[in-house]
Amino acid sequence: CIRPLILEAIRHLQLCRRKANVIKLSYYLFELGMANNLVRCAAQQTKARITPVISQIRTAHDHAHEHHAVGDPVKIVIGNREIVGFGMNGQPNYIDRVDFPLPAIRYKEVTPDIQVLKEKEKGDWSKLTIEEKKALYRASFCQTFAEMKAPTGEWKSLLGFTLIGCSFAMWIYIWMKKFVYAPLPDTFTPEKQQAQLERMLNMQIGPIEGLASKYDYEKGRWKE
Amino acid sequence: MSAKAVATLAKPNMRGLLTDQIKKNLIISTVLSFGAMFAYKFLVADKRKLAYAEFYRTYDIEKEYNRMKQAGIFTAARPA
Repeated sequence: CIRPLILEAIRHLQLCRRKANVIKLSYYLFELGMANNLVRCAAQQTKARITPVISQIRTAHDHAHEHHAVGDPVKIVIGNREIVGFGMNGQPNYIDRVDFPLPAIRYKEVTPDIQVLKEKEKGDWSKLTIEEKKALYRASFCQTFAEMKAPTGEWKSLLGFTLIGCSFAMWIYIWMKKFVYAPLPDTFTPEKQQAQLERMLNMQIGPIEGLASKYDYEKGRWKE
Repeated sequence: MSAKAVATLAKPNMRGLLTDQIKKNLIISTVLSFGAMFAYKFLVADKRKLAYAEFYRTYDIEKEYNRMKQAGIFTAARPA
């Protein structure tokens, strides 16, 4: 005797063509133990408005089970916004992403003027004006693709901070050279470097493409 | 939709986008690889071979050995 009442509730909602609510309602009904109490609420609610059905069912359920002291956590977070899909991970969140274009919830809460537009949306779309279409888009989404992809100029601050970091590193190197490193060995003096260069030329190091190839041995000086 | 008010755009290509991208990338990479190969061959490898051939054409090893010995770099063959 419970089953026909549940089916009657579902058929009522189906007539109003709210598929998401039907699925949620039926799932919810079959899930609960106190079917009798709930079905009575459901049968009464089908005469009322469709949108608050879920919240009223849930509050009825809350009254039925005394140990549920808090309200629906999803509703607290998202308010009156409609869940329209699975989203990225099943959580009812909104995000504008180019590679994930369909968020789980609509952007704006349902207000009376948006509700009017939604009723008009059920009819012929060519009768909607451009402004109405834009309003419907903005009701479901925060930014358009053009706005999402618009350049932010963030690269300038990134480059600036990177260069500031590099220059700070250079200051640290100067400090290290002055206060930390030991002095260079004496083989770095100009006279000793000169002597090393002479020895390399005597040994003819790099005779074909390297150092000695640039030295003219007949004339005893660098090649032009 | 008021299609009479504005001119409609041509429908963009909807299919085979990855294939086209891959083909284009393959062609570009082949051309660039061959270009890099020939550039290296002419500017580096052949130039180096010419330099070596030129050097050894007029290389007198005894003369170089004596010059180095006189300069005093050998420890086992001191200058006279």
